[in-house]
Amino acid sequence: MNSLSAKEVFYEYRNSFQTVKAVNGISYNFESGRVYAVVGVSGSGKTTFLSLLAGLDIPTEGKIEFDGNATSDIDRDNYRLNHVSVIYQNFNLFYHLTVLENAAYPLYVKKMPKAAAEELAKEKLLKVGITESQFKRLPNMLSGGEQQRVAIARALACGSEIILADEPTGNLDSKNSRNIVEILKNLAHEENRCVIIVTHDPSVAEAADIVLKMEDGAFEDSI
Amino acid sequence: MSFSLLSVTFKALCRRWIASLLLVAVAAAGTVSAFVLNGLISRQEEALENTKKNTVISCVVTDYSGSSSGNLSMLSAFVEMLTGKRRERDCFLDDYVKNVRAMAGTPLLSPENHALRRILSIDSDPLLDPINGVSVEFYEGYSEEVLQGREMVCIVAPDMVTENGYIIVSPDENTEAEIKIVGILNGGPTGIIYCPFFMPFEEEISVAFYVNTCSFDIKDNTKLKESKDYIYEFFVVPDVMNKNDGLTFGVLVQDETYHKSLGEINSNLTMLRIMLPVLMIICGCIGFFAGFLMTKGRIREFATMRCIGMKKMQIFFLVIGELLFLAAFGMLLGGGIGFIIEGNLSPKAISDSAIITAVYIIGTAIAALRIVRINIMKLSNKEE
Ligand SMILES: Nc1ncnc2c1ncn2[C@@H]1O[C@H](COP(=O)(O)OP(=O)(O)O)[C@@H](O)[C@H]1O
Ligand SMILES: [Mg+2]
Repeated sequence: MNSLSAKEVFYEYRNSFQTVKAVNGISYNFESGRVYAVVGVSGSGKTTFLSLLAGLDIPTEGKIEFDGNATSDIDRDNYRLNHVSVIYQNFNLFYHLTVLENAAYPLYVKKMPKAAAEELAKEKLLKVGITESQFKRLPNMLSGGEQQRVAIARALACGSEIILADEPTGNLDSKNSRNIVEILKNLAHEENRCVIIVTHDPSVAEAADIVLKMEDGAFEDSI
Repeated sequence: MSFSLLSVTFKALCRRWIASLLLVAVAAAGTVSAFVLNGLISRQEEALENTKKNTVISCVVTDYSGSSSGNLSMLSAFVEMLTGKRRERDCFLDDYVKNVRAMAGTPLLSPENHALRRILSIDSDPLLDPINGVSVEFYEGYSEEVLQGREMVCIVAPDMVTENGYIIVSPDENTEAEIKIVGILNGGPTGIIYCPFFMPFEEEISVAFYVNTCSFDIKDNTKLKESKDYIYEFFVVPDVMNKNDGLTFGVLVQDETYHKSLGEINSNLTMLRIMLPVLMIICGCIGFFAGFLMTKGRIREFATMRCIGMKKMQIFFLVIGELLFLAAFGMLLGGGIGFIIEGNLSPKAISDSAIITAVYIIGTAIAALRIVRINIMKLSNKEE
C-alpha cells in the first residue's frame, strides 16, 4: 500500500527579479483507490502543487512523502519512471512516434524487451478504447480525446500507482471529457490507484470522491 | 540506453526528415568545402613547385651603366668564370648559373669578307635561332657540345665547305690556322665561321679576347637570393649613373615575372590557408545554431522525457547520438561528393573534414547542453 502525503509544503518561483509564492503551506494525505479533484481559480497554485507531487521539483519548505520517503531524498527520475505519471491538458505526446510507440515509451526507458513492452502497451491502449487500427498512427491523426487516452495508456503502461492529471479535459468536448473522467475513475476504483485531477470543470469535480479547493496556494477546508 | 529506445529515436529522426536532412546537409557542406579547399591548396602548391622548378630566370651581362648588352668588349675571363673554368681561383659562379651563352666576333684577313664567331652554344647567337629558319647540322660524331670544348673545329654555310673538309683562317698576318669543318649551317648567315668559344688559334695556346654578348640562367631558382648575392660579387647591379670603365660589368637578373607569379600563388595560398580556420569557426557556429534550432523546437519533447523519468544525461546522450549520427552521415555524403568533385581522397582533406565535423559537433553539443537545464516545472505551460 503506497501513500502520498504533503507536509507543510511551500513553494516559491524565484528569478532575479522577483519571488512568487505559489504554494503556501499545504498538508494533506492522499489515499489510493480514490479520485481527488483540485479546483480553484487560475493562478491559485494547482499546477505547481501537482508538479511537486510529481517530483518535478522539491518544495522550498516542507516535504512531499511517498511511502514515507521525502521526494527530496529519493531518486526522483526513478520515482517518476515507476510510481507517478502526469497527464496534461495538452497531452505532451511525442509527435514523431506512433500511438503504440508513445504508449510503450516509458517501458523502453525501463529497458523492457521490445516485444513485451509493445504487448503491454497494446493492452493498455485497448483498455482506454484505442483501436488496433490506430496503433500505427501518429498522434496528430487522432482527435484530442483519443490523444488524451493515449497519454493515459502511457501512464498505465508504466504501472504508476499515482496518476496526476492537470486539466486533462481542458481541450476536450463534454462527451470526450466524460469518457476520460470515467477512465480515470475506474483506475482509482478498480485498480486501486490514487488519482488526483486538477480541474476547472464542475462536472469533473462532481465525479471525484474528494474535492479540494485551492486558494492562494493553500487548501480551503475540504468540501 | 536500451536498443528499443534507440530504435524509436531513429524512427523519429526519419519521420522528422526535413530537419534531419538539413543537419546532414550542413555537415556535408563542411566536408565538401574541406575537400574543395584542400584541392585548391594542393593545386596552388603544385603551381608553386612548378613555377620554382620550371621558370627560367635569365640574366644578361651589360656594361657598367646597363645601357648596352650587345657590344660589351668584356674580357673572356668573365665567361671563363661563369662556365667554371676559374674554380682554381676560387670563383664558383658555375655553382649558381647554367646555360651560359656567349658570343665573340673576330674579323678575318682571310678568307676575305669573312668573320670568325666564337659561340658557347647555338643559342648564343640570335642569328642562329631556329625561328629564323636556321638549322645546324653536325657531322657524324659531333654535336653541339663541341662548342664547349677546345677542338679546332667550325660550322659554316654550305657554300664554304671545302673538299678536304678543312678551312684555313687568319685573323692577322702572323696567325694562320687550319680548322676542321664539323657542321653545316642551313639557311643561316653567310660569311660567318662559327667555332667553339674557347678555341685557341694554335694548339695549346689560349689567348684572352673580347666578348660581345653574354647571358646565362640561374641554376636553382630556390637559391635565387644566394645566387644573386654571389653573382654580384663579380658583377655589379648596372646603374645609368655609372661611368663605363671597360673593366666592370653589370648583370640584369630578369626575375620580375618570376617574383610576380610567386607572389600571386603565395597570396592565393595564404588566402586559402586562412579560409580553413575560418571555415572551422563558421562550421562551429553553424553547428551551434543547428543544434540550437534542432533542440529549441523540441524543448517540450525533452521536458516530457524528463517527466516520464528519463535522466538528464540519458536525454543529452540521446540527442548527441542523433547529432553524431547525422553529422557522420553528412560527412560520408560530403566525402562522397568531395571525392567526385576532386577525384581523389587526400588524407589532409579527410583529416580536415574530420576536424570540421568535430567542430560542428562541438557546436551542436554546446547547444544541446541547454536541454539538460530545461525547467520541467514549466512543462504544463500552454504556450510555446
Ligand atoms: N515558471 C514560473 N515562474 C514564475 N512564476 C510562476 C511559474 N509558474 C507559475 N507561476 C506563478 O505561480 C502561481 C501559481 O501558478 P500555477 O501553479 O500555474 O496556478 P494554476 O495552475 O492554479 O493556474 C501563479 O501566480 C503563477 O503566475
Ligand atoms: Mg495550471
